[in-house]
Amino acid sequence: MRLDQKPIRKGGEVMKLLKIEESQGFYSTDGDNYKKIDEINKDDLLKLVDITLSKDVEFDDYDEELLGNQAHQVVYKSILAKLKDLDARSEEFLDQSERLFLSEFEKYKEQES
Amino acid sequence: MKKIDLHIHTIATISDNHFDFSIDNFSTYVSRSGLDAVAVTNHNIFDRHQFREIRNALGIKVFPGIEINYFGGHLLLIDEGEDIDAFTRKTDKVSDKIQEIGDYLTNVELIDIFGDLNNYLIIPHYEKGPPVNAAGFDAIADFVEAGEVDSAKKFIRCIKDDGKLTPVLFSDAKISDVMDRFPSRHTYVDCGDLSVTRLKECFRDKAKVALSPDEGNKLFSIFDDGQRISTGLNVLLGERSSGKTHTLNRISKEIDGCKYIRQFSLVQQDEGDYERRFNDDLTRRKSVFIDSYLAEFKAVLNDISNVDITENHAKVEKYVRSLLKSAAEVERRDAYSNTVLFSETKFEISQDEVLVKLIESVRQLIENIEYRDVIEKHLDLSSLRNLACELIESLWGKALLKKKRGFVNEMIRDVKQGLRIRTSATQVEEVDLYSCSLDDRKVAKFESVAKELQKESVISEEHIQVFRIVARKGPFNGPGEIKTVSGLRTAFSKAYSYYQSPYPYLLELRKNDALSPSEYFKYFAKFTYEILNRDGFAVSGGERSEFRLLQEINDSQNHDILLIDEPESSFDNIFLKGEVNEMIKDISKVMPVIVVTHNATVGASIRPDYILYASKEMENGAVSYRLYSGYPTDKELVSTDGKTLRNFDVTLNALEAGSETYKERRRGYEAIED
Repeated sequence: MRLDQKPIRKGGEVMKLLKIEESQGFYSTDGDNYKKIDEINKDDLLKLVDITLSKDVEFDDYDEELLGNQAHQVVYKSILAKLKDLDARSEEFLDQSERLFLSEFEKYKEQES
Repeated sequence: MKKIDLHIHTIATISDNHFDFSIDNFSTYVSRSGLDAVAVTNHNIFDRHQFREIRNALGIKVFPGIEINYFGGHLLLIDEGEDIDAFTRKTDKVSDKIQEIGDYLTNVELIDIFGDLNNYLIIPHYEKGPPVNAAGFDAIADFVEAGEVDSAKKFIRCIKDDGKLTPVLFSDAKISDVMDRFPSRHTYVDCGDLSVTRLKECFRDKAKVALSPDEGNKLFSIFDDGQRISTGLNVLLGERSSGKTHTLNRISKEIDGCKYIRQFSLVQQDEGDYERRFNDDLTRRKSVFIDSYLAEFKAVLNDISNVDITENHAKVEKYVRSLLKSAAEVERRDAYSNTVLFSETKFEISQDEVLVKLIESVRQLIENIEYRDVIEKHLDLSSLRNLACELIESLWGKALLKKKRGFVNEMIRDVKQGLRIRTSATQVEEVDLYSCSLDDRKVAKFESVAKELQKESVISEEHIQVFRIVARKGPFNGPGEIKTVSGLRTAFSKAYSYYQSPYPYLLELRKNDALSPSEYFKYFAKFTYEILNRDGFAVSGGERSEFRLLQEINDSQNHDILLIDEPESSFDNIFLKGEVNEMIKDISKVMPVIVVTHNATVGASIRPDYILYASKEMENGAVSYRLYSGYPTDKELVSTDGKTLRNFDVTLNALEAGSETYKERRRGYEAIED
């Protein structure tokens, strides 16, 4: 995604990134296939961050009773808090990214258009 | 020849110190200096009412003009003056654009406001501050016939150098109601009508501009009474108290960038005090030299300022230990430690220095004005702009990725923390092996550079006539020497025990809070900076004075005029006739020099280009001071008010105490010889 574009929100299609089923936490990077949260690695996390910034996403809320697996509890709770926070301020996150050479970029684009 | 001054201020702007304009002083200046044309050139402003008042009052050609802030420097733009109102409309736009110090016009804006610049005299500051930068200059080079300089020396230099513009020397004076003297910087032009068109033609031919009306560039005006001196070597003669030093003082006030070696200034009566001054001077020069020599070493030192190899090694140790422990404790692994994130490492976050440099380079290719022709011959500007945009987008993409990775790293850290407190399994410590390895390389490089620095060698040898300035480097021979260099009351003995191993030595220096990290570079090698005489020995007291005189004369090359007051009062004739005369002669080939002397060795054997004679005379019961001048071969020396003296009498009186004494002395020498 280009930085000078606003994040595209897909109306209607909301992707569920984190869910709880059968006392276990799951995550998905495509909205269809879910893997156990204890298998998540840093590349998966980066994909979740990308999706959160570019699409409408949702997550199952943390519920200690529903999520019985204690190791899953630790991982799920922490990731959920971070992603929810990111989702809430995704525009701010993108807008405040470093944009060196912005004036040059705008000038050259204008000259070439 | 017409005498012109096309750079004059009549309004105090934000670029000037305050002054109140005086039309009376402007008239007096014009008539006393015998000017044929002037231009009113205030900073970024033109006042047509004031201009009309000036034009009506002066009775000579007055050009309307403006001094514009342009690309970091200033340029004069002078109009023919046929339509003052139209010119005002244009200059008002300049005033609108330049409101604050630091504002300036670009070439595009300049042309936008004034249209065809061929209709104006465009004279940029050339060898004068603040100069127009190269890019700004090139952009208007086709419209520029002459450049302004600020001294006779620079005028001559531009005249002689075919690669330089035609120089013009103007007063840049502020015509205020308080003027104790009038400026003497003017240019003579061989030009029929005084119009912008004719002046432009005239400036295209260097032979048509000069510093004097009839002597070309051999002489130039020094005072507002029309007194001229040579652009080469002048000798100023005169009896005691005849106003010679006073004349030099006046010149030093008149000319900025004057190097003035005053009488006795290089020889102190108090030998101890003199030695201290000499050594202070030497220390200053040594310090400047060392700072510049060690600039690269400082950069290396700076590069490892945050490197802590010991800590790095400890981290690697810890990592290896935790890795082995974790492997040995397989049975302790549980649901927490089995999660992937428990053993996950963080993303490396690298800097995009290469990409930034690349964009900067492409930007330079696009923006460069000086070499635009060559660049466009080989590269298409449009492609370059597209390339720049794509690279900038890549940079932004990388910046965003960096930010996302940083965010993920925070997630990993939080999860790991949460898991660690719940498990009894050992978590493998994180370590950045790449940066640890890079740090090791940096330290190795630093060690090799520092050891090279400690090797004994001569690093610079400069000759000033018979003297040599020799700079050497080598190792410190004990902590006392380092302490002396530091100038601090702190012990170096512990650190010195590591001196052979530069990195541990540096770590020891770091432990000493009394030392400033910015000074560390001085503690790695010893430098000596010595002045040796012709025999290769350190200079004696007398030689020190000689050396300083030669050095002062040598330094004068960066100035616009050199004044020396009675060198014979401090030095012996053999030294003066040899080294000093030779150096003064050389320097006078590129800049004006005035030597005040009573001494025949200096005054006559130096073969001056021009003679000045200061005289104190009684007139109608009052004392008056007068300067006479002429070429050494002239029979008579003439004052600016037309009085004359016989050159032969003046020279013999001043240098040989009169012709009788001279003849007597000659007979004496002949008798000895016989």
